[in-house]
Order: sequence, then C-alpha cells, then structure tokens
Amino acid sequence: MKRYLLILSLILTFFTPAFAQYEVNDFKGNVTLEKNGTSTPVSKKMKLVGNDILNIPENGFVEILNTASGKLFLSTTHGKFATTTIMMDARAKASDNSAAINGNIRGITGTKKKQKVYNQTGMVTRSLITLDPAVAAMNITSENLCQCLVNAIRTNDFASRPTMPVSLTGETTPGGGMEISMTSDYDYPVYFNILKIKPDGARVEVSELGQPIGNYMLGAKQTISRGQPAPLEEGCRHIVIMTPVPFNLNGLLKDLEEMMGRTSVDVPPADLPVYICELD
Amino acid sequence: MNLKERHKKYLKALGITTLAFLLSQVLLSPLTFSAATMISSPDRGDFTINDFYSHVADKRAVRTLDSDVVIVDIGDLDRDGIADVLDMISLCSPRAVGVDVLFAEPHEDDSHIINALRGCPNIVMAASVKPDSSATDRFRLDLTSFLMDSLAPGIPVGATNFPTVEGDHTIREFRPAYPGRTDSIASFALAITEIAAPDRAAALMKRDNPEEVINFCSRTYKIYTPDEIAGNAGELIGKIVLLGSLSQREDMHTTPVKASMTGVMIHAHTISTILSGHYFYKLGKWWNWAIAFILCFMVVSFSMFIPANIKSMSMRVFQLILLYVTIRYGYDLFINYSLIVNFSYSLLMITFGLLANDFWTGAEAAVAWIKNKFPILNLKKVKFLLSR
Repeated sequence: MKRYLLILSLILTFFTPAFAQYEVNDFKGNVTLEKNGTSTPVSKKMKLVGNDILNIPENGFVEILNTASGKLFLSTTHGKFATTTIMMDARAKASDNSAAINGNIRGITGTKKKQKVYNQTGMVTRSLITLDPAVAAMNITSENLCQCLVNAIRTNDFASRPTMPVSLTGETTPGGGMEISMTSDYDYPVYFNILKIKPDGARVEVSELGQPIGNYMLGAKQTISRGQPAPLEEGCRHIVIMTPVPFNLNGLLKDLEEMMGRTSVDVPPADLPVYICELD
Repeated sequence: MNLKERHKKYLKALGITTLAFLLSQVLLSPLTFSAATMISSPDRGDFTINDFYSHVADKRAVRTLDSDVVIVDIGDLDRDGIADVLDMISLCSPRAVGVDVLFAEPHEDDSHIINALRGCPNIVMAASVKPDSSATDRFRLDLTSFLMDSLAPGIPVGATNFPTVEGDHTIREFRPAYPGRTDSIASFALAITEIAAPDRAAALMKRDNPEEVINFCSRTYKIYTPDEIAGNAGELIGKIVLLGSLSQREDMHTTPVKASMTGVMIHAHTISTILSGHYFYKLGKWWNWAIAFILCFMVVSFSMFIPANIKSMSMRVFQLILLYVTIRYGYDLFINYSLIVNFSYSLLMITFGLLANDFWTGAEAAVAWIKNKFPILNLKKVKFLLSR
C-alpha cells in the first residue's frame, strides 16, 4: 500500500503545478487568515498569496515559507499583516544586527521578563494496571517469598500454600518438552515465573520455560500459554511461583541460594498470597 | 603639552600595555575560569563569544529551509522498520543516503536490513574512529556495522565523530577527515558530500584545514517520519537523505545554538556547511593577541590624556562602551564576513591594561617615595650635590 502511495505521490510531484508561492510553515496560537470578510484558522502547508491578511494573536507567531526561495519568515508581532508585509518586516529585523545584539544582551541581563516554568525530572513509568490493595498491604518481600519457597521445597509440600487464583494446566510434549496454560479468575494481575529444582534438591534455577529471565505478568481475566518443545533438563522439578505483586527474580534467586544454605528457615504466615505449584 | 611629553606618555602607554600583555598571559586561566563562572554557562569554562553570536544569528526572523538535505527520523524503529524505510527511500532516487545508525551486532534475522542496504543507491554507512595510540594525530576505525562484509565492496563509510574538548562539551567544529596510518577516513558528512557534490568535497579538502567550524545558524531541515515518506516522496528526489533518530537521548550533544541536538542534525548542518561553501575563517591566536595589544594600547594611551580627577570614572565608562562595541562589531564580522575574531583576548587585555596602569602608577609613586627617603639613590640629586 505504501509503495502505491509513494508512486502516486511521485507522479503528483511531477505533474502538479505550484499554485502559490507562499505557505504557512509553522504557527502558534489562533492565527487566522482574513479573506473576503471571513476569518479562517490557518493550518500548516496552507497556501498563501502576497496580499493575504494574517491575524496573529498575542503570544502567537506565524512562519511563512517562500517556496521559490526556500526562505522562512517569522513574525511574532501581534496584529493583522499582509503576507508580504510579514516577510519584509522579518527581512528587516534579520538584517538589523544592532537590534539583534541589543535584544539578546537585554535577554542576558534579565530586563526581558521571562516566564518561570517548572520542569519535571526523574523517571516516569506508566501502567494501566492496579495491584490488589489488600495484597499490597501484606508486605510481600523477597525474604518471605524465599522462605515460602525453601520450606515448600524442603518439605516437598506445595499443596499447603494458598490455592492459586488461576487455573493452571500443563502437559509434557512428545519431544520431552512441556506446555503450560493458565487462565486468571482474579480481578488483579498476578506475577509469576517458572523455576526448576535441580536433581540434588539443593539448587534452584530458572526453568527453560521461564526463559528469558524476568517477572511475567498475567492480567485480570487473561489466558496465557507457554511452551517449549525441546526437551527439558532431565531429573529437574519445575515449579511455578506466583504472587499478586511484582518481584525481582534475579534478587529472588540470589536470596534463595543464600537461604538454601541455611539449616533452618523461618516459616512465613500460611495465608501469605505466595502461590507455588509443581508442574508434573 | 609639548611633543617630548607626548612621546613620553605614549612610551609609558606602551610599557603599561606590555605589562598588561604579560599579566594576561600569566592570569589568563584563572580569569577566564571566573568569567565563565560569572556568565553561568551550562558547562563552565566551555563558552566562547562565538557561541553567543551563533545563538543570536540562529534566532533571526529569516531562516533558510535547506533544499539539499532531508532528514528521516527513524525514532526507535527496529532493523526491519529501518529496512522498510530504506526500501521506500531507494524508490525516490536520492542523491545520497547517509545511514546514521551503527548495526553493531548481528540479530537473529538480518536478511531484510542487509537486502535493503544492498538495494539502496548512493549509501554511506556510519562508523566511529578512535585515536591510534601508537601514532600522534592518527586514527583508526573503532566501530563499524557488522554487516559491512555482507554489502557490496567499496560502500563508503564515514566517521560520525566530532571534535570537542571533553566528552560532552560543545560541538562547534567538524574534522573533514581522520588521518589513519595508511589512508584517511572521511567524516560522515564528507563521505556523503563526496557522492552528492564531489566538487564541494574537493573544495573542502583543498582548504586543507584539520578542522572547520560548522555553520549552525538559521537553517531548517525538512524532517519526515517513516509514515510521512510515502506522502512526501517528491521531496526526497535528488536530495541527500539522512536517516537517523531525532529522539535518542544518548545521541544528544550540546551545540552553540541548542543545548541538545541529535547527531544526525549536526551531520545535516555539517553537510550544509560543505555544500554552501560558507566557511568561517577563524583568526589565528596571535592575530587575536595583536588586535588585543593594539586596542589595549589605544585605551591606555587615551587614559594618559584624561585629567586625573575624572580618569577613573571615564576609563570604566570607556571600558563598558568598548565592551559593547567589540560584541556588536564582532557580530557584524561574524555574520557579514564569516570572520571569527576572538575579542575575549581584547576585553581581557583592556581589563588588565587598567590593572597594569594602577601597578605602573603605584610603582612610580613607590620609586618617588624611595628616592625621597633615601636621597643617595636619587642619581640626579647626587650628581647635583657632587657638582656643588
């Protein structure tokens, strides 16, 4: 489609004559074209002729392009002016070196009133998603996430954790890989990834299904499917970890490695909404 | 006042001017540092009076819409998106296409971009250079696009570097070519101009200046987004098309006219400078000092003939007038004659001229006091006494 538009545009360029010598290149404010007693707001690329009258409002400007010479003429003066007058004034101003220097020196020394503005700094992130306020208040940290995980792995008891707010199905593929699908019944987003417990039961890594590493999100009432036809590492157990708040997976793995080395780990509250499920 | 007295005053003025010159040589750095602090430039110490002239000139009410260079803003397009844009541009018969994008590492499937680059006529690829540590003022290629081997042999490559004092200081000049050990690496702008206007490129090389000042003043470019190309294809025919991002934060640089300008826009101004042949002539350092010396001598000489009771005030007023005159006519020279005279040396020397005058007057008074206190040192008096 773009190609046809391009060819059409090329043809038009060759065969369309230039009707007007001037056009509006840029403007600010309610700049209007006064013609035959009517007032029309200008628009970019609007064609003009020399005796067209432009009405420039206060704090507005208009920049006119002379298509023949490729020169742009700027007028910031408030009032009604003919196109040619605007261009002549601009030319006179541009060649007045004294006025240019004086104006800028006044600008530097501060006699020109400048409006104060307040610039925003810092990073802004935008999201349409809101967290479950009840869960947000429960203070899920990397530490209690790890405690949940370590206790579940050591006791081999994933069932005692609260039931996931999503329906999760998983099946192995003929090639030795795995496919999972989850549908959320929850009104808020949930964050998850898939970890694998190495055959020795002492080390935890991100599962092949959880690659690339990150904090995946399942939105409210959404369904997601994920799969890997290639065989997964033999002898590993794959578990889904899910919470209604985002977590830092890299930090979690680091904390997990440290906690797995401890002989005893605190038991977090049973109702803490940290969901763990093993994929069979 | 007789002629002898007048000559004596001029001689004294010459002595004071010489003292001012010596003082300005010694105290140049501390004073310029404090001056830069006073004018509160965003990057202290990185300010020249020509930045002010460029800034003033750029704000003139008449600008030029460049008729040779068109910029295509690729924003944050991925490689496939860039390839689509290149496909469209190649249909518009551009005079040259400068791709200000470095494809540093291969991706999974780069066949589309490679084919698009292959199919685009008169293309120039970006590269970066770095100083060759084993030789003085010699450079070698630093980064090039990984796909150069996949393109037709001999595709021009241009260095996108710009000379500046430190990492993020103001970019005012460009280096036409970076000499290597065996041959030189053309700048991105020169490589494009060599294709688009070989005569202009040759004229630049004939000047044989290691660096040239970029003319940033009062020039505007037509900028199209990829979606606008189809509707404005005619604007690209026979033009130099620069492909780059106008929104990439890492590619923002300080220039005399804007606190942050993207690299592709700086290349556009550089190309326009080469194409227009409108080069600035920078007066050499010693010419600037010579002008400073003459002006300082005039001011000091003038001060010799002012009555002592109004001398101090008159000189301060004169100094302010001279400050304005140098700025005002420096701008005239800049705009009308493309001549860059660094009047900061003159202003500095005049300031030191008044200081040197005070030193000189103080030294004269001290000598008179010593002679009075220790008559034995007064040779005239001793001679007179001996003759008696």
